[in-house]
Amino acid sequence: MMASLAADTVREPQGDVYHTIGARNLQGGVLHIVCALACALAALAFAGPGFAADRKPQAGRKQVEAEQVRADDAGRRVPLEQRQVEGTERQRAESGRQRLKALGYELLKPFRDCLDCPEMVVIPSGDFEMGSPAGEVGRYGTEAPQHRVTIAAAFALGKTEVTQGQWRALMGHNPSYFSRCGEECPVEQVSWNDVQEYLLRLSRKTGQRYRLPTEAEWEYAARAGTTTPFNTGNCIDTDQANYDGNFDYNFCRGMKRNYVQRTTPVGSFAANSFALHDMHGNVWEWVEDCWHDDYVGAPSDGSAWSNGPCEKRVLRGGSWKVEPRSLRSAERNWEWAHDPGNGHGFRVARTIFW
Amino acid sequence: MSVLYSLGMRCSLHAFVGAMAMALNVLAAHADDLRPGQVFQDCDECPEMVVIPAGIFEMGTPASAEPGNDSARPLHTVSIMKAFALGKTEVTKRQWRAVMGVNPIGSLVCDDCPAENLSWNAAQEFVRRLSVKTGKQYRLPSEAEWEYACRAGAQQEYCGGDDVDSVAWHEGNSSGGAHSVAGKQANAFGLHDMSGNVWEWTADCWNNGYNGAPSDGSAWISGGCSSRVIRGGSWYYKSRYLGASVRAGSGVDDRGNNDGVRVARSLP
Repeated sequence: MMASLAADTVREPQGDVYHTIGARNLQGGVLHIVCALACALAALAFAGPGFAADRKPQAGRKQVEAEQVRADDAGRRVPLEQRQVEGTERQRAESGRQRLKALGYELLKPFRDCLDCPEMVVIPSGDFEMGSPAGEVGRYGTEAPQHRVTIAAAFALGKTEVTQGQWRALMGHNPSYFSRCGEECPVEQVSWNDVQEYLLRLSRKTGQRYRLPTEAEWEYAARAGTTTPFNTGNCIDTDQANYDGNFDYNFCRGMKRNYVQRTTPVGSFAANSFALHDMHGNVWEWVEDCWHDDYVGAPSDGSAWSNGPCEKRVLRGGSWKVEPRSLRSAERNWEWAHDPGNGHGFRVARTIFW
Repeated sequence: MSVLYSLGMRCSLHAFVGAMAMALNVLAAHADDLRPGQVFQDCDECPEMVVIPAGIFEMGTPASAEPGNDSARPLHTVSIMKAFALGKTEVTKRQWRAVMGVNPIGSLVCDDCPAENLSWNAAQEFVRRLSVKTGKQYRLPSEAEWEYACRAGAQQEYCGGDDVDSVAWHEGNSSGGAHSVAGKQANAFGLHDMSGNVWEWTADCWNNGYNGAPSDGSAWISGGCSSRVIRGGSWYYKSRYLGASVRAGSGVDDRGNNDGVRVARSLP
């Protein structure tokens, strides 16, 4: 089903000031959206904490922890509003929301920096367990050890993978194998190096700091509060993502044998509770990090792992042609940075706080 | 000058550049008594200029480099036919005010920081007024001149070295703002901050790749001229965008908040 949240909120530059124009336009499945939004809000922390606005020196990064979403005894995430918290913590969370608001952002509210720019969603700060737990079916050693990661500040992430139309608008050509799929299909056959040039042009066009998400940010956003193999739960099916339906995961539903054998327009499947589409399947997504065979020594602050064999870069999320095991939130893959591969795409991230 | 060139003698290409430069500049030196490496100023608050020797260099990304950075391909040979002068630093806010009579947009806390928020048209207006003020022929550098001056006879990742932190302000070390000019080590031509601090406008029209680019060091003034080439990266960008060959383009009226200018001057 199609589920699109506030797709038409467009931000256009007017001198140095950005104004939000256009109104929310809810398409299709309104009930679903309302439900998703409610779930999302219930599952969330609130804005990034006591941070200076973009382009100001870092300040107060230490005082952050208090604003993260916390898990209760049963391991569920409990929104701040429902927790017994000290007054100061609540005040700081409120202050964080206001700082975001002062910059013109709201958590989970999509925006665009220009008409041809990818639609972005503001992802809340928080912490999570990165990697797969020991008992997860089909896990690889690359996903261990599972470790706690803190995403200290709210950031923006592409609501969808970058489309062929968006790529063409900045780069002047379309390298995609499935170019006949259309402008709304994800761009693919782009190398990590190619993506850097796109990001440079997008950053210069908008004056904003566009980049690839870090691997930690990607998994945090893909999970959107879930601890299961998929953000859809313990199972996934071909009504929920684009992958090779000839294969099943852990005897979930039997095989539906639904395999479209190509990419699909972005946003063809329901969003997760962070309002992000296609985090599972469609195209592999490049992230910033250099490849390491496991998480021993990985950063825990949500930053990219930028040393090591950087000629290899990490890919996440699986693609149209993989089995569901490779769609898992914790699944990791790599490719040479210069290799456009086959089915490699990406989604952009954007820093909000310096 | 001998110091300058001894730095560049490590390979034959450097030697060739050096020899060409010295041979071609005998005349220039007689005409204006300006020798390569010499620093001069045309007025008290004018930008300090360095005389850059003529020479030949390879422009763009080497074919042997891994794929990517496609707009900087193909690698091609460019001959800078004539010595020219290039700003030792980016134009500072103090210099901007002295020439334009108004403050540049943005914070005025640091007068020796580069003027930012400059569109290409604003940069053109600056060199026009500077020319009027001094009676000399100031202009924006061509993109080829810019890269030639950046490399200064070497094949290094950034202008002036492979270690970004010793030569440039970038996202990772700038603390969120531009810094006073000449705070980092100069390159072999004595130029500071060619990589990083602020982006620097050039005269060239934006073309997506070097097929058809001039080889005589002149500006490329055909193609997508509503956008112009800007070089060097800035304090706001990751170090990977500060590389000697990395190119970007922006509309002539776009005012990037970390876009600045370094002036060039033709020599008699």
